[in-house]
Amino acid sequence: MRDIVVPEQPEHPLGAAHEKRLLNDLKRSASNTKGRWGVRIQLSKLKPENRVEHSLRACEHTFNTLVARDGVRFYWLRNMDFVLLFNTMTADMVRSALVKVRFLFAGDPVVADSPDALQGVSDQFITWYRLDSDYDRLFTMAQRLVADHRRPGSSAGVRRHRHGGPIAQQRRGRPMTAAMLAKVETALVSADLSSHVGRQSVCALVGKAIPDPLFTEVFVSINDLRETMLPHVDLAANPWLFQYLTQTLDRRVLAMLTRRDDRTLTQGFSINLNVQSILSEDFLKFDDSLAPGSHGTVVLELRSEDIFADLNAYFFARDFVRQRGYRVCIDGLTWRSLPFVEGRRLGVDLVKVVWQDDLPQILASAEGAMAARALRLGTSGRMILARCDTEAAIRWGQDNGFTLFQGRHIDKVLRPLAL
Amino acid sequence: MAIERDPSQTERQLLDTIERAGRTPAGRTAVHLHLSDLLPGNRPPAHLRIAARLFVPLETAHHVQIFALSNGDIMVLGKDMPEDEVDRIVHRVRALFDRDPLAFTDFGEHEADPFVSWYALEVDYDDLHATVGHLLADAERRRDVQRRAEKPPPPMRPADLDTLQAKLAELDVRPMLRRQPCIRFQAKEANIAFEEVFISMADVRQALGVEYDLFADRWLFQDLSRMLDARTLAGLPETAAMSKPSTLSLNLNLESLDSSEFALVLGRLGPGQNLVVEVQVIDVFSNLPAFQKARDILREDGHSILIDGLHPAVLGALDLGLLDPDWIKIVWHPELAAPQHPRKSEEFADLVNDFGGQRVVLSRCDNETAVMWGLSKNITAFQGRFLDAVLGTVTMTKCPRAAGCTLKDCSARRSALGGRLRAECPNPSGLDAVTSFASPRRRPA
Repeated sequence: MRDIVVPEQPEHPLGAAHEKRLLNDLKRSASNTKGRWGVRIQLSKLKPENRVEHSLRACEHTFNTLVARDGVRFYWLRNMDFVLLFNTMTADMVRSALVKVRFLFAGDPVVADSPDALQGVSDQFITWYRLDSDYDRLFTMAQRLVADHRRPGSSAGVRRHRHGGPIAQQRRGRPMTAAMLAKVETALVSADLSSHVGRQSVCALVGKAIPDPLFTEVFVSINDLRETMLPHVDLAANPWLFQYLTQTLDRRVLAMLTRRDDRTLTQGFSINLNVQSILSEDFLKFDDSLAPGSHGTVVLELRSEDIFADLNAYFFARDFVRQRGYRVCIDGLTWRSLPFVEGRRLGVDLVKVVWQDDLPQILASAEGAMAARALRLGTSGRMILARCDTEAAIRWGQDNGFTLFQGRHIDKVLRPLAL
Repeated sequence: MAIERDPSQTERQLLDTIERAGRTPAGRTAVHLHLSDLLPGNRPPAHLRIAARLFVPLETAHHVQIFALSNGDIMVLGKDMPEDEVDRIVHRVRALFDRDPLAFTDFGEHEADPFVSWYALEVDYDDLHATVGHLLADAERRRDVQRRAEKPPPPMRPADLDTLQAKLAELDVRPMLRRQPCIRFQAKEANIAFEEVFISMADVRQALGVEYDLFADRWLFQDLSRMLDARTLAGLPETAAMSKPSTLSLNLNLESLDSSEFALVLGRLGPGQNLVVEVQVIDVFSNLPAFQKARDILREDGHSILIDGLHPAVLGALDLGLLDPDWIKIVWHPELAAPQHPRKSEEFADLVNDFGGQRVVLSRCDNETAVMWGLSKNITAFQGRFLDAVLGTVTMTKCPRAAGCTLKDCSARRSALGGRLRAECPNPSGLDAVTSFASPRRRPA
């Protein structure tokens, strides 16, 4: 019985997201290749009748424990192949899991009896990469896979959405229900969030000077996460359940930062939080884990609807974190919300205004008059123009008193400097 | 099974520690922060936990002991404590609670600071010992009461919400609909400005056998409220009292205004009957264009929009005039009436005037103090149990068949829109008969 139309070239639903993760993870480990391995299992070469869904699931299941407990990374590719990244410590466990995989598909001609295939010698089913020597080969492969996403007809050209960003553009799929939320919550308990974590600098940019990074926003890429956990679900269709989910993510991000998995993040970063999360035990643990004196370099980003939902809690949380030395930023103001949210009245250090391509036209129109006025009255050193994807955004911002910027265009300017 | 911790254990440890310290009292100090005297709304456990955390640096640097007591008080104990530092932290805790009269009360030269007490063990040991003795006795009493009392329900989880939504679809909510008047005080007379219709969550809980706390998470409850909107709107036209008030108010999510159920309610309004739609500020800020559109459409049809559930501080934090709702509803907080409130009363009156006193409702007025305070700040519309009682009393006075009724009965029956409660009234038409009464005389300022 079949109730799903199978496209001519089936694509793994997680493939696009995983390919990007793979590329990102490889970038991050570029300087840390010693004793590390990659392996690609070419399920795409199996006969279609051997590549049924339950076998694919069984295949992934084989690696669950290795992924959850031993730090092995698992990535589906769009063509149904999968890639594993691991190190010498876990190599034997990966080998024994691969035995199971070969056994799963033993009837297929591509899984030939090659005695050395598990010892690091590639055959037509398994390709091995020793990152010490083969890093470039694997990296180029991942790059090519991701570059393919931009080709017309590819379904993977999705833009990222941050926690707190306007999620209205994301209208697709079924609306999230409480039942799905319950499942996601359970999945999040054991999920490895680290590869869904993105970062983006906020820079001071005056005139033609080189952007000067002020702090780096650390965020969970909601869209990435959605593609992994709920590929056919529209999170934005239910803003309340989405907000609930962000609280769960807050806890996970705080725990991650408290463990300080990422040693580059000791100071000068910002995180998105809900007011209630600031009042939680997780935040207090995070607070304890920061080195004395570094609190002042950490910026907490809050959303206006969350602030106004319980002002009393907000004032308490704000006074507490400011006493501890943190800085507070209101995140995600659009031209619509900007007139209502005055940083000064709310006692915050920074406000983040979202750029959109038609912003100059809107501000010149009658509808945008209140926002234009609010921008003129704003304090320039306290306003960040965010989501600047183009140079035009930066130019407009500079002409309108902004000195702080964030967005893909800034990332582009910064990247060559970092190398 | 986890062994439940005795909540009075900290007090017992504190008493032990003090008795031991009393043997070598030289240089020992105790600092007692009376956080249990904060107004209940200002001392949620999360806030108290944070207050106690502020002392943690002293713990490591100066071997100070911190006791977070079961009533919310904090006791800090140490030898040769750096008093300046302790004082600085006490000051910071005070600043965190500076919206509470306990923190800002101006006490006289010879009076004790109600917020904090300092004890030098060399001279004050007996006082301290007695205080801690009382704290322990209170804690044990509270523990015993708690053990007999029902356990607080666990919070609602997403999976609970899922099951609940399925059950809710089948529920007849008509007997669960209630109304509460919003009363406008004018020079001589007080009138019902509108009657707010809502669904009794206690009834819903009982009908569906819900054993968890529906309100524990704001966002999950908000999602539940979408479902409740539809049920309320569907049940409302079939209730006996729907047609009575000349203006009805309904708590709704903005998205519910686009529903067929809402259209049905609009269609069933009598001639001259109007609606006030009450929306939450979270909903407004989550979807500003939807709010603006709803406001304009409602207004065009002679209805109005109200932003509900605002903390008094919102007037200072947000220029509500820009959002331009017809009404705002501010929740009464007892600390507002405290003398010497640092958010100066005159300032608040100015903010009310700026927005327009006629457009402000003070809600949850449980007593006369709230109403008197509101009137002195140019607020003229009020809602709450105190007003329900006043209206109930007048209703009974005017009712020829009230002899066998109590005020509680009458108020409860009046609040029902239909169903058993309303049917119990010997004179149902009397429940809607009173729409005005004489205004209280205002005290000279």
